[in-house]
Amino acid sequence: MAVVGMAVAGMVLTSSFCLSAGYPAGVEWVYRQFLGGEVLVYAGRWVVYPDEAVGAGQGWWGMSWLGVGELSHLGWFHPELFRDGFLRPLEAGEGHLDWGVLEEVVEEEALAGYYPCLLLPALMVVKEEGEVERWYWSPLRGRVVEVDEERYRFRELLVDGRVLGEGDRGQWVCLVDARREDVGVPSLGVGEEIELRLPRVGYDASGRPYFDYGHLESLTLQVVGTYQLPTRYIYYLDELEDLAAAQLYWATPEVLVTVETFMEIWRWLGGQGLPPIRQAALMVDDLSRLENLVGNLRRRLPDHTVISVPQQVRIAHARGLPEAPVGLPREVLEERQRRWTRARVQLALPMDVRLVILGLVYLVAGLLLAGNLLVMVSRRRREIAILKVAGAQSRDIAVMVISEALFLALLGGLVGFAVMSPMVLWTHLSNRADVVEVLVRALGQLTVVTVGFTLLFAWLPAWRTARLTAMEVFRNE
Amino acid sequence: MSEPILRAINLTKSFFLGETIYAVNDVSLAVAAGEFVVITGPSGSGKSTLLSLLGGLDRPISGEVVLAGHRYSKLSENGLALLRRRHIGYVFQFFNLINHLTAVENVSLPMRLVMRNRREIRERAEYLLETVGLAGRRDHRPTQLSGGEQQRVAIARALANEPKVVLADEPTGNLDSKTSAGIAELFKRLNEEHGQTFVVISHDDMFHEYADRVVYMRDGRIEKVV
Repeated sequence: MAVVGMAVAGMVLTSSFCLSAGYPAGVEWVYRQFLGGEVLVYAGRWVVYPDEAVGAGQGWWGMSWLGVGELSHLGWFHPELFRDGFLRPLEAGEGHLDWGVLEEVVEEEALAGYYPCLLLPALMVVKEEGEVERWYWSPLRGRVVEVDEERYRFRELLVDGRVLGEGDRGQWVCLVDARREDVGVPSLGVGEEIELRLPRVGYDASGRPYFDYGHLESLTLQVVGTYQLPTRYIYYLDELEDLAAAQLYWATPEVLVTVETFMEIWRWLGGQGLPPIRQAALMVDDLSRLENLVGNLRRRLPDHTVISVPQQVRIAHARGLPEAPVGLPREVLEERQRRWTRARVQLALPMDVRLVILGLVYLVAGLLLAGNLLVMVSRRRREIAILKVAGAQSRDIAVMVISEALFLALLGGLVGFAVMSPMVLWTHLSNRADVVEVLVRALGQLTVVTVGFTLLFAWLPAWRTARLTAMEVFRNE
Repeated sequence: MSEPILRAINLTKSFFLGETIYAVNDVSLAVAAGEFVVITGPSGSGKSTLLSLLGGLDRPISGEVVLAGHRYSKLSENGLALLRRRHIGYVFQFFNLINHLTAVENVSLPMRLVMRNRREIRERAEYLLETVGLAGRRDHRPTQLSGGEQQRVAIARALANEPKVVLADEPTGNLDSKTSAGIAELFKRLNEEHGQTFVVISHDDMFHEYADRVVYMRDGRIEKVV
């Protein structure tokens, strides 16, 4: 019973630690920060595939509308995680997420929060020689200043200028990607102006909004800052056949404005109420809930694509994403660790809950252990008496009992660890690279906690047994 | 008589069973090193209680026991345990072997409190089993051994840490007469060959012929010494 109790406790501790260690391991954190959450919901249902013909060295992604049931969820992944290129929600068809449904889902599922992707189609206008206008796809995106500051750490992504702040709400200022040229869009510097053309918003007979590209409105914004989005490292052999590393960035043509400015533009274009959402990122408190949550969301939102980021990463790995986080330079790992430390604040509550559950499980396991030890020593009173006659001191007996308790507890803990490890490996979707480290740390934690609890709960049986005298036993036999 | 290795000085031990019963009443006894002493007497005469006091398993209400210069009254429970470990071997009437251990493991048990080298422990345990005539039974468990064989294992265990004194409480009380004779001879042989002191409690007269002295007890007192 003691072994079984400790095995259950070991299983709970292993799974709890390993699942919560997803972010500390630094594997998925970058994706969370990068994509805004652990779950992405795209309006409509989509499959994406690369179209090598578009863009020099930059694969764009074509999209096909498929009906419900025609795809398995494994068919979806975020292209960025696989190869160069990215999904553009604006082009992702006709669907849009309903604000109300999203809020309802967030409320029901007790999610940590969600972050809708507010996008408006926009074209950047560049006047070339002879007053010839050249247009570039450059969507307008509304950003929540606080979220950018706290979650996305935009300040750290800044290349030049400043981030959007309180004073920029409703102002005609924007941020642009410093690497816009990588996606074929002219670059812009701080202080420069960007001229955009945006389609007016119309409503069809059913009241659904659409963009009227026949009527474009002109808008000028001033660039106050440029940023870049580092994604991952790649490792390769250079000309000298030496291993070299390079940081990759996700380049985007988007123009970022504050959500307040975005809403003003939306209304100016003729939009009413809230704009359509083509993509939303949802945050969960605990990775262990993630796949259940995704399943629930898929049932709740049958007409939309719901994908978990760890799932995506795993699929991307399976498809050959070559850049595992293993071997990242120390400073990058340290930075990820710092980010995780800050992020823990957000996760404090669920972690407390987990600790309580873990504590209860260990309490039960510890009581089982103590009970079993008491039974065990009561059955072995004669043996202990013989040892006492042979000259065993109280300390020897106590050490014997505690050693046996430790053996049982660690055996149970190891059984629990062994049972849980494959499940953790399976559930710990994207941790291909760091999973060994996570498991080793889990094993270390398991050992420390198990030893601690065993000493606590074995103390009483050990003390009682050590006090036993040979005469007491022989007289009572 | 040489210098006593074990001395009981005015030992008294009483129990309260509705009224105060003096199991051992003002007993004094000196046992010389290498001596073979048999204590005998009717049931309830206080033999076993005296032996447990001599072995430091119990405390007297008054009096003193001195073993190899160590006064029991000055020793804590742990001190007494150490004394037993180093100087006393104990043999019980009902053998008190541990059933899930083999003969050699049972004999090894006291050595584990003193020695760390497992190979040395095993070698000595095997030697002791050979000494008591059980070389071929070392890997048998107590349930696979006869009563006499079990007692021989218990004797080997008592000798494990080369004690100065072996205390035996009715070692043949659970054995037939033929086996008992074998055990008595074994005690005497060990006494002569190893020079160990034996204090044996026994109803059995066959021990008397091997004993240097026979102490008769009655009602908690020494009646006579022959």
